[in-house]
Amino acid sequence: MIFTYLAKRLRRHPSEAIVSAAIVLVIVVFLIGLHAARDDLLADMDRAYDTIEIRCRVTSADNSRDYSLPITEDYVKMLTEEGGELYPYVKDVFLLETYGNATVLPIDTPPENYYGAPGMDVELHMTNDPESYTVKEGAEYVYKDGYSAADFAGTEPVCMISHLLEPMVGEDGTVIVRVSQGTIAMKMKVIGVYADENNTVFGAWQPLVDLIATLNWKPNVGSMAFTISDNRKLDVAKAILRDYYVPASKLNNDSVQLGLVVDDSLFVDTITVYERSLSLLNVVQTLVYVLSIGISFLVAYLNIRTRKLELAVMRSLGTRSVALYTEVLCEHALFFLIGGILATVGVMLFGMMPGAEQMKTIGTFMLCYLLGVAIAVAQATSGKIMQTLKGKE
Amino acid sequence: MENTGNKRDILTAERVTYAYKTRHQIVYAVRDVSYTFKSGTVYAIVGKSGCGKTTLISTLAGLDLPTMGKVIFDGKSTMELDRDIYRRRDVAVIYQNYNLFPLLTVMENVLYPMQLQRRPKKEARALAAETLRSVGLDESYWKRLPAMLSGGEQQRVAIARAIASGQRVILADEPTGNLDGENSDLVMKTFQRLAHEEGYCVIIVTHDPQIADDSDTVIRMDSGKIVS
Ligand SMILES: Nc1ncnc2c1ncn2[C@@H]1O[C@H](COP(=O)(O)OP(=O)(O)OP(=O)(O)O)[C@@H](O)[C@H]1O
Ligand SMILES: [Mg+2]
Repeated sequence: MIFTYLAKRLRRHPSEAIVSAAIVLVIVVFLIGLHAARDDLLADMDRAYDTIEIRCRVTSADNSRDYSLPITEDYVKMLTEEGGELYPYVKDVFLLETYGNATVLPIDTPPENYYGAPGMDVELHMTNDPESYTVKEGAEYVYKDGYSAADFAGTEPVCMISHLLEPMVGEDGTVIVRVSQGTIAMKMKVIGVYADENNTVFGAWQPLVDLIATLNWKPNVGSMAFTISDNRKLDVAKAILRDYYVPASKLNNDSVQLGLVVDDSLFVDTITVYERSLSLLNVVQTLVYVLSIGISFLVAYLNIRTRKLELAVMRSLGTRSVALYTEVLCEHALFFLIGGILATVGVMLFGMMPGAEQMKTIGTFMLCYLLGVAIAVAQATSGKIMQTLKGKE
Repeated sequence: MENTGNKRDILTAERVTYAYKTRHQIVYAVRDVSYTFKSGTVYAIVGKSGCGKTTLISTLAGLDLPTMGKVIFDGKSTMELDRDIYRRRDVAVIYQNYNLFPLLTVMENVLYPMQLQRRPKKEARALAAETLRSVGLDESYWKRLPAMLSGGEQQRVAIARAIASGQRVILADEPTGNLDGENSDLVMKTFQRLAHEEGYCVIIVTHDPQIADDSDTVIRMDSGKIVS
């Protein structure tokens, strides 16, 4: 009975349905759009979290003296060994030791003459990533075909030399490097050249460490570079780091502490922008939510107010108020569905696919809308039927 | 006056007072009215405009509870009754302003109370058709909306809606106010037949001396009180 009455009303007085459905349509499109914008933003933010590299560098900073403090073994272990406090937060740890003076020998020097033979004095840096240490502004590393910085992390004795040393390279592409005050030497494969007027040789970390280990020497790490492995844990990592290092910005002129530079400014700037947009969007979303509930309540209320007499007549003929609520709620649920479905189809035509999250939002909106309708019915029928019925006299 | 059918007390107003409370004042529209209505009788309530006639029959119809006193139907106070069922099954009201459903056709308007009573569709339709014809509205009117009818025609739809659904008490608020003499007669005859042949209790509020004359009992009201 309710439904036949409803259908008749709809057919004879469709404007009510059209207005309600149109308002729902606009609001639902808005809600889906906002949701989509938010999802896009979150995805971008995720991408920023995943792709922006935060490089950190530990340097021995001492501005008043001209020697550098070595980074102790404990520091290195903390970052590089399983169980180290920072180990879970970092990746791509690069080490560099300024080994000091070494000599590049002429390529035809026989091994028995390595000790004591004259050569060209160079500065040797042991590292597993020369690119963490720029030689000089504008001096680019040029790798030979098939080689890259990654080879420095391996076990092959490879090196990168200044172009000044190129005449010392043999036909097999190697140079002979003598280390440790002339006591031992090894052949290193030249895999790259950089153009600068100094004669520093960058040698692969592991083979050189192994070499000096034969003399019972340990490498002294002069500087370290690493990347935060999971940017979402940056704050945790930073909190731990702070206990060990003084941020570079806080170093005094006469400081003898180690300096840590966490180069997160790009990351922080990016994320800050996203977070600001996100919180703005959240505010807008809440506002739209509140507004839409308000508007739908108003629409329902005005709509039902025009039917106050009709509802009173129904009550006077003995219609139960439960039936009255059912009828009006069904009617408005129908309007909502029409508007909601049209809106959904509409946004899908524009290529947006409302997901479960959006559906939940729309569902909540629908409940609020129907609550508005119910309150409006309660309001409309709260007066005495008798006085409403006499109203037209 | 013929008096077939057995008469028994069906509806009683017991010291009924009704007050309209507005923010600034209280209007006592009905004051301390006691009266017992019997089945098989046509009553006419007459009195000046504003003397409380509509208010009294609205209270009798269970649209609201009296401010003081009781309305008793078949031995039960409307305070204790399920008033939805009371209005659906026991009393029918013809309103001064018709109160038809604007978006339902004439036929649908008449059917509505019978649908509430869950009468079988066919039976309800047949009854509605017969009743509409009895008040002079033939088939050509049935599919119209109330807005497409004259005042008198609307009034007759309201009458048909009230009497088709078979409640034993009919409360009619100026049911002939907009009718010509002929139609007025027709309606009055119907009320008389219902009361005298079928034992209905018909209570008519009227300003029409003819209707009052044709009733079995005339009740005079003044300033919310029954004076005779
Ligand atoms: N909603 C209301 N609020 C306040 N006072 C009201 C209200 N409705 C009616 N009244 C007052 O109650 C009194 C009785 O009104 P009622 O409608 O019962 O009169 P009536 O006898 O039916 O008059 P009429 O013959 O004009 O229809 C009147 O004085 C009227 O002013
Ligand atoms: Mg009146």
